[in-house]
Amino acid sequence: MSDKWSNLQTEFSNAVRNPEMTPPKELSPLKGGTLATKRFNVYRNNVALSLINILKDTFPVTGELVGPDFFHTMAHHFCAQNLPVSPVMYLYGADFPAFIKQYQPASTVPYLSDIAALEWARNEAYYSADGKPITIEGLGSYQEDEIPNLIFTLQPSLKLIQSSWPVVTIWEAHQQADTKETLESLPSQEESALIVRPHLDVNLRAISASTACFISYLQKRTTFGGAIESAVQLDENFDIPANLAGLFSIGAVTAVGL
Amino acid sequence: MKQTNMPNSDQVSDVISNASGEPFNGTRLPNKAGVGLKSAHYTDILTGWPDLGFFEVHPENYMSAGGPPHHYLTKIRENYALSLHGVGLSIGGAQPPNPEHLGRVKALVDRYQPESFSEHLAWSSHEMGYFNDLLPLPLTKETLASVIEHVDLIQTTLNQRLLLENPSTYVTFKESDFEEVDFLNQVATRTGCGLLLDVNNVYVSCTNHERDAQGYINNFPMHHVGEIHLGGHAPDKDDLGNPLLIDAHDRKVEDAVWALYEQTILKTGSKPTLVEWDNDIPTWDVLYKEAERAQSILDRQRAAA
Repeated sequence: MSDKWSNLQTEFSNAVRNPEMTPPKELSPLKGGTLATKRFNVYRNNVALSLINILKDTFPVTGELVGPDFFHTMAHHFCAQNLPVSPVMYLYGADFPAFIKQYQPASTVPYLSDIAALEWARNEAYYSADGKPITIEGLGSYQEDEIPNLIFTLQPSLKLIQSSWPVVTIWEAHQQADTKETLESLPSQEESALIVRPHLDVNLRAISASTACFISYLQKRTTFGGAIESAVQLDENFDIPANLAGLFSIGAVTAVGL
Repeated sequence: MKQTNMPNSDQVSDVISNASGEPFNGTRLPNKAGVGLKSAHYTDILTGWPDLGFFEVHPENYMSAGGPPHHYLTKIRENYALSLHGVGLSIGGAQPPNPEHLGRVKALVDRYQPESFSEHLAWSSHEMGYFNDLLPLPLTKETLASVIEHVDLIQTTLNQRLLLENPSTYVTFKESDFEEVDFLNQVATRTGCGLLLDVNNVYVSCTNHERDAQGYINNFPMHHVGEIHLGGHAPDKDDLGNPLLIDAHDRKVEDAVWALYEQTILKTGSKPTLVEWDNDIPTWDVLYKEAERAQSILDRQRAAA
């Protein structure tokens, strides 16, 4: 560990992160003693723009909702306050949805933070551990009276986003090239989003609040019976067979056991 | 270079036995052209099985628990030689490489058994975090000592020889005890590591600091070189209006860099050669044509030898 170099690195780092600072005096000046500011700015730009570009790639719909200039400014503010903690860059941006929520200029798009949360959940699902789905026939080896006590293991990629906005409808509208502009009229209903990657593709679908409740209890390793009970409390018409079949058919279950 | 339609399972073992007859430069990559692997090209590669010597990836992009990146890299690795080219160990920093990150790199080396592992003479992390860029260091006795220590630690931990790459730089430091070539030669001699000669970086840095790129190549200790890199750069101007080249990896390799590469290869013989293209990623065909151009230079040298 060399102290002199460590101190100069600190000075260099601070100047890279703060454009108003002069570059470190330890850098060689240009001919005639001119400060090599434009040269130093290459590093400033590389750091700032590479981080902003990562957010652009991870949050494309969030970007389309506010336009490239607005997004760039918002991402720039975030990146200025949040340097990555490790070189594993797919983890960068986890706090961006929370940042957007308190970012005043974005308050005119009240669902923006929820869309960013949905995009972050898709990113996490893409990189999460793999799980091999099982079919509903896996329940066949249990007695009928054992079924309520079963514990389900769900895909490691499975995420739920609960929103007061139709987040799935908005996200899906931005997947077709011809409907990329903001939706003319938003459907008024709130939506929960289920994100899961059964194999290579990340799937996203809108689910009811009671289905979201059911799955969230299963994910917390509540028994099947307990999860149903909570869902029925929310919706007395909760369709148990349909929800159970649906969960298996989308490849969300990787194991069941007592 | 012809495209083959089927994966060639002999390719990797062939490569290792071929390389064993030649001086070992810290890499078992074949003396052929390869490209940086991009997710946008996974499908093109798995359907076309292009004739290439190797693929190279940043290990930092493959540190997830699962998902498509591992799925595709596993399939590609089964059929091609692989180079892991790190950007996160911050070898040029004062602090030793982050042990957690080094552990992640080791897990990938153990999993994929790459023919080569390389890193940069640069730093990318400091106390406050990770900068996602390769930042410059002064070439002093003090930094030489710490770089040697870091290379030793990495080689011991990974149980693999490392190739250290010459950087693109935009500034220099007032305090300097070594020319870059001497510094790299000292690190290689004292740690036993190999070197990765990035010909584009030579051209970029020499232009930026008004040095002679041909002279840099002539002085470079070629017996340590295990791999060569080529990439595109963007032209700009500095504060005085002088040329300032940026190592952008966002376009084709410039003709001047091809010329410097050809001179290098004529001098040293065939070397594993990688075309890097990391931003504004082109279609597969465009990238493959760049690799073909490198391969044709390697073939010409071989025919002339």
